[in-house]
Amino acid sequence: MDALERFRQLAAWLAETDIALLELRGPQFLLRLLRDGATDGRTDGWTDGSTDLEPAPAQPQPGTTIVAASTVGIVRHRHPLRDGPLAPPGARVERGQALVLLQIGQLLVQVSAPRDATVAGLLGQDGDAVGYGAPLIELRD
Amino acid sequence: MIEILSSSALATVQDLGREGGLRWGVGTSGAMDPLALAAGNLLLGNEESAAAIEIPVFPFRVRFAEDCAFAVAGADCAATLDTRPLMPWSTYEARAGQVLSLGVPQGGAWRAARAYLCLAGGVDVPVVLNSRSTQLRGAFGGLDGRALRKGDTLRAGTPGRATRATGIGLVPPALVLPLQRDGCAAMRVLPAAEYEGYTAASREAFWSTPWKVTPQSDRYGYRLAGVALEPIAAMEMRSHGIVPGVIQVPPGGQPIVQMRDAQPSGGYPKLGTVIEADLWRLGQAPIGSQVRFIRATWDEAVAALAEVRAWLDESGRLLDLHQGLRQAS
Repeated sequence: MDALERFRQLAAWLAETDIALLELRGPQFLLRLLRDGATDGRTDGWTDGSTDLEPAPAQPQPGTTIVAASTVGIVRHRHPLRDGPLAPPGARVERGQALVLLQIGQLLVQVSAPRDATVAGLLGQDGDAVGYGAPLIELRD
Repeated sequence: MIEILSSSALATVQDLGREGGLRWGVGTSGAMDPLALAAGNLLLGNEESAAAIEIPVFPFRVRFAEDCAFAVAGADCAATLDTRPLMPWSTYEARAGQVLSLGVPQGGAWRAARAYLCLAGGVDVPVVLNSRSTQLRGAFGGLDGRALRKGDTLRAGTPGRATRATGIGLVPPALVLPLQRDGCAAMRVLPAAEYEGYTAASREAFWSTPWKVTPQSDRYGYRLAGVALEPIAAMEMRSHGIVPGVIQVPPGGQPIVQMRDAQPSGGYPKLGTVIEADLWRLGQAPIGSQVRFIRATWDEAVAALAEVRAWLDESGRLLDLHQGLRQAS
């Protein structure tokens, strides 16, 4: 199925729902479908060419890394079985260690440290619903 | 292949059990927490019934001799892979030479007794009478029919680099399907054949007072301590068939709940039966903890089984969905 056919299929599915706005984001794309003249509340006319592809995360300082959401989900800073946070600010973390969990129903997807580092700050609130690419945590050397 | 580094006894290879052999005197064996074992397998894309290692004594350590995806479910044992802390009820990928350590079960939101180490493709031991579970009494199944020892090696069905996403976990069923009374883990119970043979006061106490899991509790049975249960008249019975979950009352009045390694027959009077859907809750109750019993009906017991099935199905659905999304992107 080519991209245009996929787009038509999505539009057809959307037409059968009461969903006003469908937004899909990926690393290289943003798709926003509005149904029946619904408004998405935006004022900056997203057709103006200023592709508002992801957050333009404030360019990280040298030596710091912004770790972003690998999927949609609800931000969890602690595991539901545990009392303490996974990676509180100041904590030393190891490459591959879970920093944040993204909950989808009863699924918990780990967002892991790309390298050994220190947690500089948490960028999302526990309980926030976030989309792909949302900045979640800042690491420094 | 993994190598057992701990000399701690009582860890065994288990799957979901050896069904259908009771008529020949072959007990069921199988995981004390079948839900944790099935969940660990689902996380890895294994058959739900694949064999895993049941670990009741900690600390417990294994070394991976080759790359292998694994999952740890059940009790939260603050696991580490070398020095990296791991989340409970999650999948990971070990590289050759790495050491997985399970510490003492943590308090947290759910204090449990047993952890399950699942490997990609399941733990590869021979199938004996339709199951890979260790039958300790008969000394067959699992690894040579015995508990694991330091230096033992076990093969994974499909070792190598992970073919599915790792770093994925599940919210444990103890939190999704909680069941407690007055802060104690609770299990639903169907009254059994001799229920009416106990005094009204004893029957009332059975439902309304806590029962302590004594140190004489293991895979064979849980010996509980509490109010002495008194029969209206002494009952003497011939041995008859029993199944895991049956609550017997020996002459001392302190109940014994038959567990996965129970004998297939017994002669004590039966007060009730812990429903199949709740046996995992008891299997995870630590020694020294208190449990409560809740009277249930047949229909409630069947509905509870459907709830457990629904939890597993929803886990499988979400995992497949996530897996599909990952492959698409």
